[in-house]
Amino acid sequence: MWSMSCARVGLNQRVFELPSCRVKKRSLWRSRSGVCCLFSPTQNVSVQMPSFNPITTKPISVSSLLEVVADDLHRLNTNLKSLIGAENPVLISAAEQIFGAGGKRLRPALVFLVSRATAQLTGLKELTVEHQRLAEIIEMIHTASLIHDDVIDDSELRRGKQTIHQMYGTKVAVLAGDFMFAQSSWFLANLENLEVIKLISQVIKDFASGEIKQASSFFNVDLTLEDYLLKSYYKTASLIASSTKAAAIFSSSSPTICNEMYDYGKNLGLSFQVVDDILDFTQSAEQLGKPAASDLRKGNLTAPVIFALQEESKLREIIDSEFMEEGSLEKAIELVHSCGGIKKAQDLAKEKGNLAMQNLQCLPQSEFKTALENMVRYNLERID
Amino acid sequence: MAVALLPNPSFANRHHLSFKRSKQAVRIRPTHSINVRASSAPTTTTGENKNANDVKTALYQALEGVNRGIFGVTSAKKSEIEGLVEILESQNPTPEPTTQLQDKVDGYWKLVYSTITILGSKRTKLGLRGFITLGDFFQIINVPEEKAVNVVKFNARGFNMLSGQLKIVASYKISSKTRVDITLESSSITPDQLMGLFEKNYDLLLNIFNPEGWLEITYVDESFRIGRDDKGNIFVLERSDQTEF
Repeated sequence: MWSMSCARVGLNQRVFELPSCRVKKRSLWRSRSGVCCLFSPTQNVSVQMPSFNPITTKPISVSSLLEVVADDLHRLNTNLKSLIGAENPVLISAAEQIFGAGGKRLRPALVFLVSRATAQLTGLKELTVEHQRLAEIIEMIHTASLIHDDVIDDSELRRGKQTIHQMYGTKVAVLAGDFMFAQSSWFLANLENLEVIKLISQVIKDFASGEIKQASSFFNVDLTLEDYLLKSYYKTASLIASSTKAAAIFSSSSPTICNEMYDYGKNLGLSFQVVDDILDFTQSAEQLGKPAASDLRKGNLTAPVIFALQEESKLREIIDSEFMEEGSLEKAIELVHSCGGIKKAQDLAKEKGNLAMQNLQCLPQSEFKTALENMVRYNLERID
Repeated sequence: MAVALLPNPSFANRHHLSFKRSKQAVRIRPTHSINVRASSAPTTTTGENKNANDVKTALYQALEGVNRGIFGVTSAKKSEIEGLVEILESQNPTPEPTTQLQDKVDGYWKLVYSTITILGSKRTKLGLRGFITLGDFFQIINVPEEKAVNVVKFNARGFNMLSGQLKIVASYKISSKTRVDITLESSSITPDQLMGLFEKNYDLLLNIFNPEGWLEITYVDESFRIGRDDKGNIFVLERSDQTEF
């Protein structure tokens, strides 16, 4: 029970219970407010939580971001490995590769953060079994989609390790992905919450819609920003939005809060995708772990390109020719930069980030709300 | 379809002609032995009157891997190809082709190169990124009826590699000793199952392969024909026959 462990803040924001064990050092607390845990272990003391002003001078690291839910994530990792391996010997050896270290677990972390942040409003004291299972489902769906994506793209590396189909062949990769989609659907049904079932099932359909939409728009220079945002929603934001809303639902939150959490997830997800698309242009091959501008190269036109196309007709021609001429891809990248495509895309990412911040205003102040805000900042820092 | 033809000294006799006609064979009078060039296509040497066979050989080599140019070529390759085309045209053995259509042009032809390309969003919309693969492009000229039929063969994955074709029927009228005017008559896709695939983008497809306008026959001999249309396109075709079709 997380609420009994040391130095963990109870979900009730006013009461701190400190059993007599050592206060675990928590960098999130100390660097932020400068206030240590000062409470006598013998009595409950109600204390006004200091309002967090997390303006840190150093960039946000993932570990500090997720520390407030570190235990939850640890439990998740253990559960996931056993979930995959349990039924299928074929997948046991792949399980370690699939769920071993490497993933940041941002999506389940968001589930935990929103769960805990919204639970404060409804007086929920502990994370429910549903919350836990929801996070596992989300990570399984996300990972399944990555495994299949890697097969489709014929990628060799994922998160610094060999992809599943590279190591075990396409058959295992397809089966592993199918198994995880199926298993997560079954777990989802067992949660017996119709609204959540509908929300999350939609996501699996949206993944496919997004891929199809993307493939049917290769080299389409008339692609609009709306088209791009819709595709990005299907591919990325849909999962996050549905999971943050579902987390709020399991906290018995009001419909307003649930919808705000949905919008938070959606805006954060879109911001993520736009940042990813910017980095594809701005990072070098070494940083990316794959050739730069790989999206543009295969005709996948993303935000920076769409903005640049509004300014420069020459770019249209180059893309339309599918980079037939030598040096034309390089010329196109240059044009995207010089036409302010990158700058406008950065503005778009920030716009979505700001919307996400606004969606958090309905939440009471807490370290979880702060972490949710920091998620937005962490994402935008990647393009600073 | 890569033009994987090897240079062949008896080029003129490559294709059997299934119908009788008085042949006015291009007489090849080699003044030197014909060398099969294994190296990359030779650059145009100025002033030298290259033997037509040599030029065709060079052209075939230049066209290797180009897939009729349908998915684009670099401008360097384009210059190379079109340079060789121009040399051939300057040695056209049939300066008044429309007076000898029955002899020289009637029958089956296969496209070897053209400047028509399907790239960018058009290519995506027509499923030409792995879903549909293009086969040979044929042209059947029926001189007595003054008809030209263009056939684009293709295969569709997922339909169990079903083969189909786009057929475009046009009629022509001679307008000068070198030129014909072409009118589109009809088009179809067979079999029906494949029509569904292209229904949404049928206009796009027709636009690409629309023969309407005029066509100058700038070179024709026993086995080779070059034409230029009013849109600035170049067409290079080789003799074929019904068995190939």
